Amino acid sequence: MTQERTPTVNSPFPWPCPSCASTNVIVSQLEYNADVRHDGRLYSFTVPHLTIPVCQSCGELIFTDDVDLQINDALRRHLTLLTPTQIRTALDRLDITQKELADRLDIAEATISRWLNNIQIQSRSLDKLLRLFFAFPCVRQALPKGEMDPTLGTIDIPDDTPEAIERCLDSPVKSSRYCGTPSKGPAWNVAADQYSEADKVVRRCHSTWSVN
Amino acid sequence: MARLVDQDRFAAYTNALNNWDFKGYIHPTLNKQANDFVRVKLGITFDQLKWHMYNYVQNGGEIDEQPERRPEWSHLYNFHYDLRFYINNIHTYIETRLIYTPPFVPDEPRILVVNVHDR
Repeated sequence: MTQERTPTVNSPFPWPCPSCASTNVIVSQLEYNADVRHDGRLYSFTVPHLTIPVCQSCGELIFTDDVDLQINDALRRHLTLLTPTQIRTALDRLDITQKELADRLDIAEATISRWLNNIQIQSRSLDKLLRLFFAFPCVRQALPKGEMDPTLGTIDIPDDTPEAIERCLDSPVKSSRYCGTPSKGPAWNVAADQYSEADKVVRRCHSTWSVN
Repeated sequence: MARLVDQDRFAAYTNALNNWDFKGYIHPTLNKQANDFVRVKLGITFDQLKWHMYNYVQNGGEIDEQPERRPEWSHLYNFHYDLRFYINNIHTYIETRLIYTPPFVPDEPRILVVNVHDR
Protein backbone atom coordinates (compact mmCIF):
# COMPACT_ATOMS: atom_id res chain seq x y z
CA MET A 1 0.00 0.00 0.00
CA THR A 2 1.40 3.40 -0.91
CA GLN A 3 1.82 5.99 1.83
CA GLU A 4 -0.42 8.66 0.37
CA ARG A 5 -2.06 9.58 -2.89
CA THR A 6 -3.12 12.93 -4.25
CA PRO A 7 -6.73 12.97 -5.29
CA THR A 8 -7.53 16.64 -4.76
CA VAL A 9 -4.74 19.18 -4.63
CA ASN A 10 -3.93 20.52 -8.08
CA SER A 11 -5.98 17.73 -9.60
CA PRO A 12 -8.63 18.50 -12.18
CA PHE A 13 -12.32 18.40 -11.42
CA PRO A 14 -14.36 16.49 -10.49
CA TRP A 15 -13.01 16.23 -6.93
CA PRO A 16 -14.18 13.81 -4.28
CA CYS A 17 -16.69 15.42 -1.96
CA PRO A 18 -15.43 15.72 1.64
CA SER A 19 -18.97 15.15 2.88
CA CYS A 20 -20.40 12.30 0.78
CA ALA A 21 -17.12 11.06 -0.81
CA SER A 22 -18.65 10.84 -4.27
CA THR A 23 -16.32 12.10 -6.99
CA ASN A 24 -18.78 14.65 -8.23
CA VAL A 25 -17.51 18.08 -7.17
CA ILE A 26 -17.28 20.65 -9.95
CA VAL A 27 -16.95 24.44 -10.02
CA SER A 28 -20.16 26.44 -10.07
CA GLN A 29 -21.07 30.09 -9.79
CA LEU A 30 -23.83 31.15 -7.43
CA GLU A 31 -25.15 33.91 -5.23
CA TYR A 32 -23.91 33.32 -1.71
CA ASN A 33 -25.08 34.89 1.52
CA ALA A 34 -21.94 35.12 3.61
CA ASP A 35 -21.66 35.47 7.37
CA VAL A 36 -18.24 36.66 8.50
CA ARG A 37 -17.01 37.80 11.89
CA HIS A 38 -14.50 40.59 11.51
CA ASP A 39 -13.07 42.91 14.10
CA GLY A 40 -15.43 41.50 16.73
CA ARG A 41 -18.63 41.99 14.77
CA LEU A 42 -20.70 39.64 12.65
CA TYR A 43 -21.42 40.85 9.12
CA SER A 44 -23.89 39.36 6.67
CA PHE A 45 -23.61 40.27 3.02
CA THR A 46 -24.21 38.81 -0.40
CA VAL A 47 -21.50 37.68 -2.79
CA PRO A 48 -23.38 37.89 -6.09
CA HIS A 49 -21.21 35.65 -8.27
CA LEU A 50 -19.21 33.36 -5.99
CA THR A 51 -17.16 30.82 -7.93
CA ILE A 52 -17.09 27.75 -5.73
CA PRO A 53 -16.76 23.95 -6.04
CA VAL A 54 -20.11 22.26 -5.43
CA CYS A 55 -20.88 18.57 -5.03
CA GLN A 56 -23.42 17.63 -7.64
CA SER A 57 -24.50 14.62 -5.56
CA CYS A 58 -25.17 16.08 -2.11
CA GLY A 59 -25.09 19.83 -2.87
CA GLU A 60 -22.28 20.53 -0.42
CA LEU A 61 -20.32 23.73 -1.02
CA ILE A 62 -16.53 23.28 -0.82
CA PHE A 63 -14.68 26.30 0.56
CA THR A 64 -11.11 26.63 -0.71
CA ASP A 65 -8.45 29.36 -0.66
CA ASP A 66 -9.87 30.90 -3.82
CA VAL A 67 -13.37 30.99 -2.32
CA ASP A 68 -12.02 32.54 0.88
CA LEU A 69 -10.28 35.28 -1.11
CA GLN A 70 -13.53 36.10 -2.93
CA ILE A 71 -15.31 36.35 0.42
CA ASN A 72 -12.51 38.59 1.76
CA ASP A 73 -12.85 40.86 -1.27
CA ALA A 74 -16.62 41.03 -0.78
CA LEU A 75 -16.16 41.82 2.92
CA ARG A 76 -13.79 44.68 2.04
CA ARG A 77 -16.34 46.06 -0.42
CA HIS A 78 -19.12 45.67 2.14
CA LEU A 79 -17.14 47.57 4.81
CA THR A 80 -15.44 49.94 2.34
CA LEU A 81 -11.98 48.88 3.48
CA LEU A 82 -8.78 49.60 1.58
CA THR A 83 -7.59 46.70 -0.56
CA PRO A 84 -4.00 45.42 -0.36
CA THR A 85 -3.38 46.98 -3.78
CA GLN A 86 -4.68 50.37 -2.61
CA ILE A 87 -2.46 50.26 0.50
CA ARG A 88 0.57 49.30 -1.58
CA THR A 89 -0.17 52.03 -4.12
CA ALA A 90 -0.45 54.65 -1.38
CA LEU A 91 2.88 53.57 0.12
CA ASP A 92 4.52 53.80 -3.30
CA ARG A 93 2.93 57.19 -3.99
CA LEU A 94 4.19 58.63 -0.73
CA ASP A 95 7.53 56.79 -0.94
CA ILE A 96 7.00 55.25 2.49
CA THR A 97 8.29 51.80 3.38
CA GLN A 98 6.29 49.22 5.31
CA LYS A 99 8.72 49.66 8.19
CA GLU A 100 8.26 53.43 8.27
CA LEU A 101 4.49 53.08 8.22
CA ALA A 102 4.74 50.54 11.03
CA ASP A 103 6.94 52.88 13.09
CA ARG A 104 4.75 55.91 12.58
CA LEU A 105 1.45 54.19 13.33
CA ASP A 106 2.85 51.91 16.06
CA ILE A 107 1.73 48.80 14.23
CA ALA A 108 3.86 45.67 13.96
CA GLU A 109 5.58 45.47 10.60
CA ALA A 110 4.40 41.87 10.32
CA THR A 111 0.81 43.06 10.60
CA ILE A 112 1.24 45.46 7.69
CA SER A 113 2.87 42.66 5.70
CA ARG A 114 -0.16 40.45 6.41
CA TRP A 115 -2.50 43.21 5.18
CA LEU A 116 -0.48 43.63 2.00
CA ASN A 117 -0.36 39.90 1.38
CA ASN A 118 -4.09 39.42 1.90
CA ILE A 119 -3.57 37.20 4.92
CA GLN A 120 -5.35 39.47 7.38
CA ILE A 121 -7.91 42.24 6.95
CA GLN A 122 -7.35 45.49 8.82
CA SER A 123 -9.89 46.63 11.39
CA ARG A 124 -12.27 49.44 10.46
CA SER A 125 -10.61 51.85 12.87
CA LEU A 126 -7.11 51.17 11.50
CA ASP A 127 -8.50 51.44 7.99
CA LYS A 128 -9.70 54.96 8.80
CA LEU A 129 -6.31 55.83 10.29
CA LEU A 130 -4.60 54.52 7.14
CA ARG A 131 -6.89 56.63 4.93
CA LEU A 132 -6.19 59.75 6.96
CA PHE A 133 -2.47 59.05 6.99
CA PHE A 134 -2.35 58.48 3.25
CA ALA A 135 -4.60 61.43 2.40
CA PHE A 136 -3.36 64.31 4.53
CA PRO A 137 0.16 65.71 4.97
CA CYS A 138 -0.88 67.27 8.26
CA VAL A 139 -1.80 63.84 9.63
CA ARG A 140 1.52 62.42 8.51
CA GLN A 141 3.27 65.35 10.12
CA ALA A 142 1.35 64.85 13.35
CA LEU A 143 2.46 61.21 13.42
CA PRO A 144 6.22 61.47 13.11
CA LYS A 145 8.83 58.78 13.53
CA GLY A 146 9.94 58.30 17.09
CA GLU A 147 8.58 60.28 20.02
CA MET A 148 5.09 61.63 19.73
CA ASP A 149 4.12 65.05 21.04
CA PRO A 150 2.60 64.19 24.44
CA THR A 151 0.17 67.10 24.21
CA LEU A 152 -1.29 66.00 20.87
CA GLY A 153 -5.00 65.57 21.33
CA THR A 154 -5.06 66.99 24.84
CA ILE A 155 -5.52 70.68 24.09
CA ASP A 156 -7.17 72.68 21.35
CA ILE A 157 -5.05 74.29 18.67
CA PRO A 158 -5.11 78.11 18.98
CA ASP A 159 -6.25 78.81 15.43
CA ASP A 160 -9.09 76.35 15.45
CA THR A 161 -11.23 78.45 13.17
CA PRO A 162 -13.11 77.34 10.12
CA GLU A 163 -10.63 79.28 8.01
CA ALA A 164 -7.66 77.52 9.59
CA ILE A 165 -9.23 74.14 9.06
CA GLU A 166 -9.93 75.06 5.45
CA ARG A 167 -6.30 76.05 4.98
CA CYS A 168 -5.20 72.71 6.37
CA LEU A 169 -7.60 70.69 4.31
CA ASP A 170 -7.39 72.57 1.03
CA SER A 171 -3.71 73.37 0.69
CA PRO A 172 -0.66 72.36 2.68
CA VAL A 173 0.51 75.90 3.48
CA LYS A 174 2.12 77.13 6.68
CA SER A 175 -1.03 77.53 8.70
CA SER A 176 -0.05 75.61 11.82
CA ARG A 177 2.55 73.29 13.21
CA TYR A 178 0.79 70.21 11.96
CA CYS A 179 -0.41 71.58 8.68
CA GLY A 180 2.57 73.66 7.74
CA THR A 181 4.78 71.52 5.58
CA PRO A 182 3.89 70.36 2.11
CA SER A 183 4.36 66.64 1.64
CA LYS A 184 7.05 65.24 -0.59
CA GLY A 185 4.55 63.34 -2.70
CA PRO A 186 1.41 64.33 -4.55
CA ALA A 187 -0.62 63.90 -1.41
CA TRP A 188 -3.75 65.53 -2.74
CA ASN A 189 -3.94 63.30 -5.70
CA VAL A 190 -6.28 60.90 -3.97
CA ALA A 191 -9.50 59.36 -5.11
CA ALA A 192 -12.43 61.65 -4.56
CA ASP A 193 -14.38 59.20 -2.45
CA GLN A 194 -11.36 58.46 -0.29
CA TYR A 195 -10.74 62.18 0.18
CA SER A 196 -14.36 62.80 1.04
CA GLU A 197 -14.46 60.07 3.68
CA ALA A 198 -11.19 61.13 5.25
CA ASP A 199 -12.19 64.77 5.02
CA LYS A 200 -15.26 64.15 7.16
CA VAL A 201 -13.21 62.39 9.82
CA VAL A 202 -10.55 65.10 9.88
CA ARG A 203 -13.13 67.83 10.22
CA ARG A 204 -14.70 66.03 13.16
CA CYS A 205 -11.43 65.46 14.98
CA HIS A 206 -9.50 68.58 14.00
CA SER A 207 -10.61 70.60 17.00
CA THR A 208 -8.78 68.23 19.35
CA TRP A 209 -5.37 68.68 17.74
CA SER A 210 -2.75 70.64 19.60
CA VAL A 211 0.32 72.74 18.93
CA ASN A 212 1.81 73.29 22.39
CA MET B 1 -4.07 9.65 20.28
CA ALA B 2 -0.79 8.74 18.65
CA ARG B 3 1.82 11.40 18.13
CA LEU B 4 3.35 11.50 14.66
CA VAL B 5 6.83 10.06 15.19
CA ASP B 6 7.71 8.70 11.76
CA GLN B 7 10.64 10.91 10.77
CA ASP B 8 9.87 11.01 7.07
CA ARG B 9 6.20 11.85 7.50
CA PHE B 10 6.99 14.36 10.25
CA ALA B 11 9.50 16.09 7.99
CA ALA B 12 6.96 16.13 5.19
CA TYR B 13 4.17 17.51 7.38
CA THR B 14 6.29 20.25 8.96
CA ASN B 15 7.77 21.18 5.60
CA ALA B 16 4.28 21.84 4.25
CA LEU B 17 3.44 23.84 7.38
CA ASN B 18 6.60 25.91 7.01
CA ASN B 19 5.32 26.93 3.58
CA TRP B 20 2.03 28.13 5.06
CA ASP B 21 2.31 31.59 3.51
CA PHE B 22 2.87 30.27 0.00
CA LYS B 23 -0.24 29.43 -1.95
CA GLY B 24 -1.07 25.77 -2.33
CA TYR B 25 0.98 24.09 0.38
CA ILE B 26 -1.86 24.04 2.89
CA HIS B 27 -5.06 23.51 1.01
CA PRO B 28 -8.41 23.91 2.80
CA THR B 29 -11.39 22.03 1.37
CA LEU B 30 -14.06 22.74 3.96
CA ASN B 31 -17.79 22.21 3.89
CA LYS B 32 -20.10 25.08 4.84
CA GLN B 33 -20.31 24.07 8.49
CA ALA B 34 -16.52 24.02 8.85
CA ASN B 35 -16.19 27.26 6.88
CA ASP B 36 -18.71 28.97 9.17
CA PHE B 37 -16.78 27.72 12.20
CA VAL B 38 -13.62 29.37 10.85
CA ARG B 39 -15.14 32.59 9.52
CA VAL B 40 -17.89 33.17 12.10
CA LYS B 41 -16.95 31.46 15.36
CA LEU B 42 -13.16 31.85 15.17
CA GLY B 43 -13.46 35.03 13.11
CA ILE B 44 -10.30 34.42 11.05
CA THR B 45 -9.41 33.96 7.40
CA PHE B 46 -8.13 30.68 5.96
CA ASP B 47 -4.62 32.14 5.80
CA GLN B 48 -4.76 33.04 9.47
CA LEU B 49 -5.89 29.48 10.19
CA LYS B 50 -2.78 28.22 8.36
CA TRP B 51 -0.58 30.50 10.44
CA HIS B 52 -2.14 29.16 13.64
CA MET B 53 -1.43 25.58 12.49
CA TYR B 54 2.16 26.45 11.67
CA ASN B 55 2.65 28.34 14.92
CA TYR B 56 1.19 25.50 17.00
CA VAL B 57 3.50 22.83 15.57
CA GLN B 58 6.47 25.21 15.47
CA ASN B 59 6.07 25.60 19.24
CA GLY B 60 6.06 21.86 19.87
CA GLY B 61 2.36 21.16 19.46
CA GLU B 62 1.39 17.56 18.87
CA ILE B 63 0.44 16.18 15.47
CA ASP B 64 -1.88 13.26 16.10
CA GLU B 65 -1.57 10.57 13.41
CA GLN B 66 -4.54 8.27 13.07
CA PRO B 67 -4.94 5.34 10.66
CA GLU B 68 -7.72 6.17 8.23
CA ARG B 69 -10.43 3.58 8.85
CA ARG B 70 -13.40 5.23 7.18
CA PRO B 71 -14.10 3.07 4.14
CA GLU B 72 -14.88 6.02 1.89
CA TRP B 73 -11.40 7.44 2.48
CA SER B 74 -9.18 4.51 3.47
CA HIS B 75 -8.55 3.52 -0.14
CA LEU B 76 -7.13 7.02 -0.73
CA TYR B 77 -5.27 7.75 2.51
CA ASN B 78 -3.45 5.61 5.05
CA PHE B 79 -3.68 8.23 7.78
CA HIS B 80 -5.26 11.46 8.79
CA TYR B 81 -3.58 13.99 11.05
CA ASP B 82 -5.33 15.95 13.78
CA LEU B 83 -4.26 19.17 15.45
CA ARG B 84 -6.00 20.24 18.65
CA PHE B 85 -5.32 23.64 20.16
CA TYR B 86 -6.92 26.91 21.16
CA ILE B 87 -7.62 29.70 18.70
CA ASN B 88 -9.13 32.87 20.16
CA ASN B 89 -9.84 30.93 23.36
CA ILE B 90 -11.86 28.31 21.47
CA HIS B 91 -10.63 24.74 21.59
CA THR B 92 -10.30 23.87 17.94
CA TYR B 93 -9.95 20.51 16.21
CA ILE B 94 -8.37 20.54 12.77
CA GLU B 95 -8.46 17.37 10.68
CA THR B 96 -5.89 17.19 7.90
CA ARG B 97 -4.41 14.80 5.38
CA LEU B 98 -0.81 14.70 4.28
CA ILE B 99 -0.20 14.46 0.58
CA TYR B 100 3.25 13.36 -0.48
CA THR B 101 5.06 10.50 -2.08
CA PRO B 102 7.87 9.00 0.00
CA PRO B 103 10.73 9.57 0.33
CA PHE B 104 10.33 13.14 1.57
CA VAL B 105 11.46 15.79 -0.88
CA PRO B 106 11.44 19.40 0.40
CA ASP B 107 8.60 21.60 -0.92
CA GLU B 108 6.79 18.63 -2.43
CA PRO B 109 4.38 17.74 0.43
CA ARG B 110 0.96 19.34 0.74
CA ILE B 111 -1.56 19.37 3.58
CA LEU B 112 -5.25 19.07 2.89
CA VAL B 113 -7.44 20.63 5.61
CA VAL B 114 -10.70 18.71 5.53
CA ASN B 115 -12.51 19.70 8.70
CA VAL B 116 -12.36 22.31 11.43
CA HIS B 117 -14.67 22.34 14.42
CA ASP B 118 -14.76 22.64 18.19
CA ARG B 119 -14.62 19.64 20.52
